[in-house]
Amino acid sequence: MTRTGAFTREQLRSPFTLLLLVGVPAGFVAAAAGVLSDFATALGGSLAGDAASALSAGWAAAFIAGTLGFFAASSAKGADRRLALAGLGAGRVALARISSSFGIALLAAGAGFVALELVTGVAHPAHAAAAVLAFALVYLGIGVVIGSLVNGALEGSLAVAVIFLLDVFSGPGMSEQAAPWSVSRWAADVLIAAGVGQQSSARDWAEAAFVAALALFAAFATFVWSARSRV
Amino acid sequence: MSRLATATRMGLREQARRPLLIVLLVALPFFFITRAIASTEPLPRTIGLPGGGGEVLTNMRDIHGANMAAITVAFLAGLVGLFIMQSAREADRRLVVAGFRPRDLLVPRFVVLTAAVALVVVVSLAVTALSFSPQQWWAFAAGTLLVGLIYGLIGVILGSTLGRLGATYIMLFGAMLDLGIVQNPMFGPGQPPAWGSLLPGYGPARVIVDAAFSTQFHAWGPLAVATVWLTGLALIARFALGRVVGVAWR
Repeated sequence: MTRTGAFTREQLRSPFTLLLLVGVPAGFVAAAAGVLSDFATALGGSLAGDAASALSAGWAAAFIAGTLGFFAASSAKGADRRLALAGLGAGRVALARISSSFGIALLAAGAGFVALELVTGVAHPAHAAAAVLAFALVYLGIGVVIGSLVNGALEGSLAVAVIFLLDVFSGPGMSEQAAPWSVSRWAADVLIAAGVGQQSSARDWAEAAFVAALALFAAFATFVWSARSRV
Repeated sequence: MSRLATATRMGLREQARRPLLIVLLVALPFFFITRAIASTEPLPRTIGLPGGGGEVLTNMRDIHGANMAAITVAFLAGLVGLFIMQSAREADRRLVVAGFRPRDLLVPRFVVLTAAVALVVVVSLAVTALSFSPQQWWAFAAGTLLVGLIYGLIGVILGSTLGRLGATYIMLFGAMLDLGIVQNPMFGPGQPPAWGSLLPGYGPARVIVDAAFSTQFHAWGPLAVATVWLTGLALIARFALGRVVGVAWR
């Protein structure tokens, strides 16, 4: 079994966890799709109808990926460091750990996307799927960075939740102008456009891809740094 | 008695030695509640009060102000319940092997949980008071405390029965769906749907809405529902935790 496969199996050894990974994002999309538009109006945003529903799939994917990345990096920190020191190398351990979390996040994001298709439908499904994936990648990176730096499970999961809430409630559609700290705003721009059947510009796509790549690079670098030898 | 006091003192000291946790428990309610109120437009909104209190015309900003404290408290209390109990599980088992009775360990854990919930509730109410003034402060505070205790106990039960990842998902999405969407009068017809009364947040959320927007208390029914939830969850949490630490005792 490959390292990535072993790490994935470790995360999914409880069937109930697998059920939650699929059921929670689908349930959230179904429940939030109808109210996000009202909420955006109350916050002074302009998100309406299908765009609001589409955004809920991105949020679900982001939060699932963030917590998953955090626990993947945090829970096995000691064992991962020993694996790296035993000859596997910090880079290969980081790559396997992040790939495994990415695979699981993809599953959860897919469940949210399927729920979105079933509940409201999406005008540009391929664009929406790519944007939901960008949400998941950005938050996977954030989760792994926090998991590599913060020791306590309570502190770390709170930190992921704080960043998520700060980000999404200040992002496109939820406020008059997206806040500078809204890290998912580029992915949100693409997702909102896909939800209402509009094309995103090449610049929007490039920005969303760049931020997702940056988040993954930061995750990789932080993981390797935290797993390095202290001798 | 001395064992109980020692375990309680150590439990509180353990939490006090986590500066990041204290900062998050104090800073998070401050930031979320003030920001939620400040960023919401005062759009007119009619909401339904519980227990025959009729309808009242208010605005989105005040509803968000009244509701945000409950959401924040549920969120934080749930995670505190989940992780404080989980982090102590292995050590508690060893203490039981060393001669502590399960009761000597369970009581201090509940004291620590109650202290953390009380801290979050006090901070949340103080921050709410800066921007929003409920009609009945005591009932509003009681409703918020009930939210904290109910969700803290749900966190304890999930932390005792599920893995960390699964428990965290249920806790965070559950609080968001229950108090943030289903019980939230900002959405739908201004009061929860009939099936919403089956959720743990129904009782305290209705108490909070009544206390926030009515000069007279009507929410006796929801208060009773919340009390039943609290008692039931406390019994389940006692059983679940007792089972976890008591294995070594037997």
